[in-house]
Amino acid sequence: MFRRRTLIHAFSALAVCAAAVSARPVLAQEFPDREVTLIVNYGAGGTTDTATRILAQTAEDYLEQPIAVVNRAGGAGTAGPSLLAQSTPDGYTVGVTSLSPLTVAPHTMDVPFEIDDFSFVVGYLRYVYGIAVNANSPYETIDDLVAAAREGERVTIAVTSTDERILVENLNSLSGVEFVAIPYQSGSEREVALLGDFVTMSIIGPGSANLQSGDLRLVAAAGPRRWSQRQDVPTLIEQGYDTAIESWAGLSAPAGTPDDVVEALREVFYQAAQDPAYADQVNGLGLDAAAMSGEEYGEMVRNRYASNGEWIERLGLAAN
Amino acid sequence: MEVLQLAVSAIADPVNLIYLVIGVAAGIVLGAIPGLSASMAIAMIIPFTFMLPPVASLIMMTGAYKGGIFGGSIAAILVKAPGTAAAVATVEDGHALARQGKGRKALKISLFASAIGDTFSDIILILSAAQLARIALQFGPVEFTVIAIAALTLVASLSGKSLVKGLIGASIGLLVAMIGLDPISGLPRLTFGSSDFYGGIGLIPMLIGLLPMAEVLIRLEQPVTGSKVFLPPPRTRDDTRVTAGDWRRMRKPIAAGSVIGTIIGIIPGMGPLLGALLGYDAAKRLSKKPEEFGKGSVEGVAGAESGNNAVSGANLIPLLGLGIPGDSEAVILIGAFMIHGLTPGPLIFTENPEVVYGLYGGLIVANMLLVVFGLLLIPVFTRVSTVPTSIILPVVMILATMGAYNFQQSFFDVWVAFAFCLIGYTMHKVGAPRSTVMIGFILLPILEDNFRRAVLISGGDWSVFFESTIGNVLWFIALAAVCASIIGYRRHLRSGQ
Repeated sequence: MFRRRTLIHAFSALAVCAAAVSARPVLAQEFPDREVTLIVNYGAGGTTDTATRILAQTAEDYLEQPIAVVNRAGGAGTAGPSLLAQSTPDGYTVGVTSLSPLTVAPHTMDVPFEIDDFSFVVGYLRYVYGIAVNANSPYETIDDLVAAAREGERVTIAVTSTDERILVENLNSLSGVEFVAIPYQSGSEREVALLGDFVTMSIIGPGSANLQSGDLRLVAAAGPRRWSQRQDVPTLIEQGYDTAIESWAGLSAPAGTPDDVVEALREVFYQAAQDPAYADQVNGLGLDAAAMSGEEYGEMVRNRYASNGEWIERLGLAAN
Repeated sequence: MEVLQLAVSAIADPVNLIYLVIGVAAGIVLGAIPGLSASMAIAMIIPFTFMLPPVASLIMMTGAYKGGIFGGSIAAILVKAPGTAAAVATVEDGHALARQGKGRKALKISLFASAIGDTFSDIILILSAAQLARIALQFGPVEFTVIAIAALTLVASLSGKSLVKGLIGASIGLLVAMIGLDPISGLPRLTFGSSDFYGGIGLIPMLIGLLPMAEVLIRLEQPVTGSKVFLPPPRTRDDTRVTAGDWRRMRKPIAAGSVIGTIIGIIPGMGPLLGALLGYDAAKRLSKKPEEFGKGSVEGVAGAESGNNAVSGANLIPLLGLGIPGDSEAVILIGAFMIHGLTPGPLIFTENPEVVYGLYGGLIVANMLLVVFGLLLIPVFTRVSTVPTSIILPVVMILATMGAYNFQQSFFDVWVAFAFCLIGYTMHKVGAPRSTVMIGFILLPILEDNFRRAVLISGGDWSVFFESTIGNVLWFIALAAVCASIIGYRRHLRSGQ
């Protein structure tokens, strides 16, 4: 226990120093005068949970109140936002409203919330995607894979979410061939499938140990820009296929939260998301820390909601 | 030798040792409380581990996991309220022994079988993690489909008197597991239009309702005759210890459970419950007295307990070798690695050998600590047997309700538990075995996801199911298991008449 206490002391000392150096103005309003609860929409220990906990830890210094992180997983990430939408709109409950449950799920299932049920606070985490093949695969680029499919080979790609399926469908319509999307329940499941050569390629994230060890090979970055870890691998767009997945995690308060309280939350969490302490820790985990204002985040959610709706209808995935 | 040095020096560090002791002890106690599972024990420990050095935090968590799995069996044996899903296979025989006044014997059998199974799988892990992990890659959609089909034959060995009732139980489990989001399309199904069902039915709330809660209703009905205490006292000294005769009978089931559990642990996505059920099944098939199973068989407890603990060590094989978590506890462990900037996977052996070998040392010492703490705590826990039934039952009901809520802090899960309490009670009344519900429930996702994926990958060509060598071997095993079950069942019917 000795060690732990020392660490707590060290941390609090650091926090005091940081507060003294930056001397931030105390928020004019009385908000917040007690603990704020933050609902994470995925289970403890996952990517989103880990990054959100680091953000919460960082934001506590700016908020000057503790932040209690609770997990409400389930329903493909929609259980958390559902609970948030029904929470008291006083600013003391905020929650993770990541893009996928907000902009994809409402098209494929009945969810008890609408986008207008949220006041968007901040965007703080960019999910990074790529497309990988097994190291023993003869394919080096997306063009190679398209050529193989054109020659009649059955080219499969492991995916875990509807966003990723939309990417595959986009690729198919741009290339004129058919990559077959094979759904998996988790990132590790699809990685095993790729390692065992049961699929031709897979969507993948930078955290993959098998990518780092060279057992898998990245053939394209699937986001709008190259991976910071793998600057040598071009994006899909650079390879001539004008599509990308962009997915974010953001925070929201329930709609109806007083404007000044939302403003206070936006300021606090935007500062936390820009804090190098947050960014360093999150990037150290192979994730991509980012900061986007609440207004921008809300706009992105609305745009994506509309475009995903069209795609999902076209794919025949929509709820009736 | 260098490996040994790293392992020994990690374990000789008093800081590491202290956290390991805390982890094991906390795991046993938390696991023993009905409704607090081994993974919850780990989850509760996580916040403490953020500030620890990597080796200390990892061995504390693995210690808690091992302790939690054994702790789950304590509640299963003494109050028929399995603290973890992994203890389901232990419930019937373990509690039957306790009702004969042999609670302590059953707990010690469980403890020794757990520690031996665990140590065996840890040794396999230490000797060959990186190589064995590659075996997991031979298992694709086809192989998983056939494994699930073969494992469904477990229903026969857990059905007891009536195979038909066992099959009905398994079908209920299969049906309930279909609730939620369709694994391929992501669309909701069997959700009755309610978003509460989108996440599916949780294993833990279902288990809590089906076993401990239903058990309370069943015990409530029984007239109080003579003694008011919950369990009868031991009649002879042999009832409290593992005799030489017991050891002789346990040898084969423990060996079988350890090997089967280890194999199950190497393949990601199978989990300790399947290891326990298969260990139990093997013990029954190997036994000279299969008729004792379900009524208090020493071999049954030994097979199930060595089976579930062997999974826990072997689970680290895909985790360290491939960076792939084998079950929900391993997912949490990955988080613990990541917090410290470590990525489990092929490179960790060369980049962070001190962490890997420190963890290995911790695993072996954790097994020893498990035996020490187990033996110390068994007399404490068995005191529960002298408590009046009128106190035990309400306490179990309250703890079970809290456990259901705690699963994901949701009242929906409490209703799920209550619903399964009624289902479990009804099943008991009509003489249907409740454990077959669990088999159906855990096998459905493996069967369905992989079956549909196999067909999707092959483009609708069904011959794919017979094209892989491992798949064909597994088909043969499945066929043999079905035939053996039918023959065994017929013999059972004949001897019954």
